[in-house]
Amino acid sequence: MLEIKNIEVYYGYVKALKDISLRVEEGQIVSLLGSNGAGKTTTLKTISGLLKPKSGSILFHEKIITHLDSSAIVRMGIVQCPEGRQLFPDLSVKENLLVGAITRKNRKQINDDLNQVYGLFPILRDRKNQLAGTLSGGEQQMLAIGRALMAGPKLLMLDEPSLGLAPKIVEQIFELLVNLNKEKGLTILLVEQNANAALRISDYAYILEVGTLTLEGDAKDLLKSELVQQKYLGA
Amino acid sequence: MVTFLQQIILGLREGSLFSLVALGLVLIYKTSGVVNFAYGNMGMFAAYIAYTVFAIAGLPLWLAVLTAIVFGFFLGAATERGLLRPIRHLSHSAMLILTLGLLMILEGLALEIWKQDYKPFPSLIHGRPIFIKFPQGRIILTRQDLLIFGIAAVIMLALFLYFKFTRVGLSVRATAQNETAARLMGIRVGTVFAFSWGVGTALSALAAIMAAPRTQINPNMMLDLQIQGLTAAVLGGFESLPGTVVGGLLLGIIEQFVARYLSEELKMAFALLIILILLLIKPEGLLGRRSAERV
Repeated sequence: MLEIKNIEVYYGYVKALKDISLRVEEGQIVSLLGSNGAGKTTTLKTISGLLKPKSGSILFHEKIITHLDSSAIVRMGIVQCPEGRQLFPDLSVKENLLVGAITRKNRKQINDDLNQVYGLFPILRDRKNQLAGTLSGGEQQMLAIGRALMAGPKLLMLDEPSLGLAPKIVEQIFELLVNLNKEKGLTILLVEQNANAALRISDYAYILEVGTLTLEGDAKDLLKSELVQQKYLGA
Repeated sequence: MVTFLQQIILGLREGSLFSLVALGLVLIYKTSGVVNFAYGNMGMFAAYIAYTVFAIAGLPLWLAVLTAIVFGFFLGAATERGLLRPIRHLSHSAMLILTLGLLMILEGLALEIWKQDYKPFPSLIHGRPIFIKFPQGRIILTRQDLLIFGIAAVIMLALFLYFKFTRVGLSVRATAQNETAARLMGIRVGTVFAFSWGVGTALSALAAIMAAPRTQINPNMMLDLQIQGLTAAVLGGFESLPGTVVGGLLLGIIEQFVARYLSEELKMAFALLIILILLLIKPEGLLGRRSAERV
C-alpha cells in the first residue's frame, strides 16, 4: 500500500533521515519505533508532504506521491493524526471534526461519519459545542483521532497517540486502533515511544535510530528479541 | 450631557470607517500572520481605479465602485501569491519589510500614473443630510456618513456569518489557528492565504472609496486611516472581528473627545499614544484575551 524507497530528508544542512525504506501492507498495523529525535516524526511529516525528501521516493498504491502537496496526499487517503494532537483550540469539538472532513464533498456521508465518530467517542458528542482547547488530554487525543477519521483515511498515521496520557486511556486508545483495524480494515502506521504497547498490537515494526533504520521484523519476534527488550522495552 | 451625546454620535461616524479599515487588517493578520503595512495604499490604488473608470472612462458610479472592489480583491490575492508566498519560509520580518516596500511602490506608481493633483470623487449617495436637533445645537450627518455606518455593520455581520457557517470560513479559521494542522487535514493553506488577502484588500478598497469624497483621491489619502485602522485593531486585540469593530468605534469616540476637549491637531498623535500604552500595559487589547502567539 505504502512504500518508501531510500528517502533522505534534511533540515537545512542537517540530515535527519538517512536512506530510509519501509513498507506498509494493506490491512496491517505497522509500528515505527525509536527514541526521541530518531526521526519518527520526520518520517511521518515527509509522507504527509510537509517535508520534501532530497532523494528517494514515496509510493502509495504504486503511484509516486513524493512531489504532491499535503492536501493532495490527504485526498488520496493518507491522513495523519499529529504529535501533540494539534487541534484547533478555539474551534468547537464539532467544528474540529468538520475540518477533518474538509476535503470531502458528500454532506450525507460526512454526517454519517460524524455520527460514527460520536459512536466511538460518546464524550465528544456530549461536548460537541465546547471549544477543543477546554478538553482534557485524553479527550483531546480522542478528538484528534476522530478528526483524522473524518477525512476518510485509507492509511491512518498516528504520531505518539499515547504521549502524556494516563495508562488507562492509552489502553482504551490502543484497543480502539485494533478495532478499527480488525473491523473496518483500516491500515495503520503507528509511531510510538511506548514500544511495548505498540508492538503488542502491531503486525510489523521498524526501529529508527538517529535517522537510520536499524532493525525491522514481525512485531511478535521483535517483542521477544533480546536486543529490543534491552534497548526499548526496559527489561 | 447633550454635547456629550453629540460627541459620541460624531465619534461613531468616524469610528465606523476605522472599523472597516481594521477588519481587513485583522483578517489578513489572523490568517497569514502578516501585518500588512501596504494595506491602506492598496485601497488607495483601488480608489484611483474607481476614479479612472468613473471620471475618465465615464462609466456609471456603481460600476466604478464594483471594479475597484474586485480589483482590490485580485490585488490582494496576487500580492500574497506572487510576492509574499515565495518568501514565507524566510522570516516574518522579511514579509513585513516587503509590505513596507509595497507601500512605497504603490505611492510612487500612483503619482506616476495619475500625477499630483487631487482627484475629486463623488459620494455614493446623495440627498438631504440628516439633522439631529438638540437644545444646544444640532448634529449634521450626511447620507454618506449613514451609508458608511450601514455598510460597516452589514459587512461585519456578513463576514461573521460567512466565517461561522461556510466551509471556506471554517478553513480560514482553522488555518488561522494552526497552519500545520490545517495542512494535515488537507486544507489548501496557500489558497486560504490568498483568499483572505483578497477579501481584506477589497475591504481597504471599499474604505478608500467611502473616504474619498472627504479626502479626495491622492497618494496619501489612506495614510491616517491606515494608522487609525491599526489602532482600532490593537484596541480590539487583533483577534476577533467583533472586537475589531468595537475597537474602531471606540477609537472614533476617543478621537472625537480629544479633538473637542483637547485639540484637533492632537487626535492623530493620540491614536499612536493609545497603541503605545496598550502595547505596554495590555498587549492583548482591551477586548482580547491572552493566548499563544500565532507564529
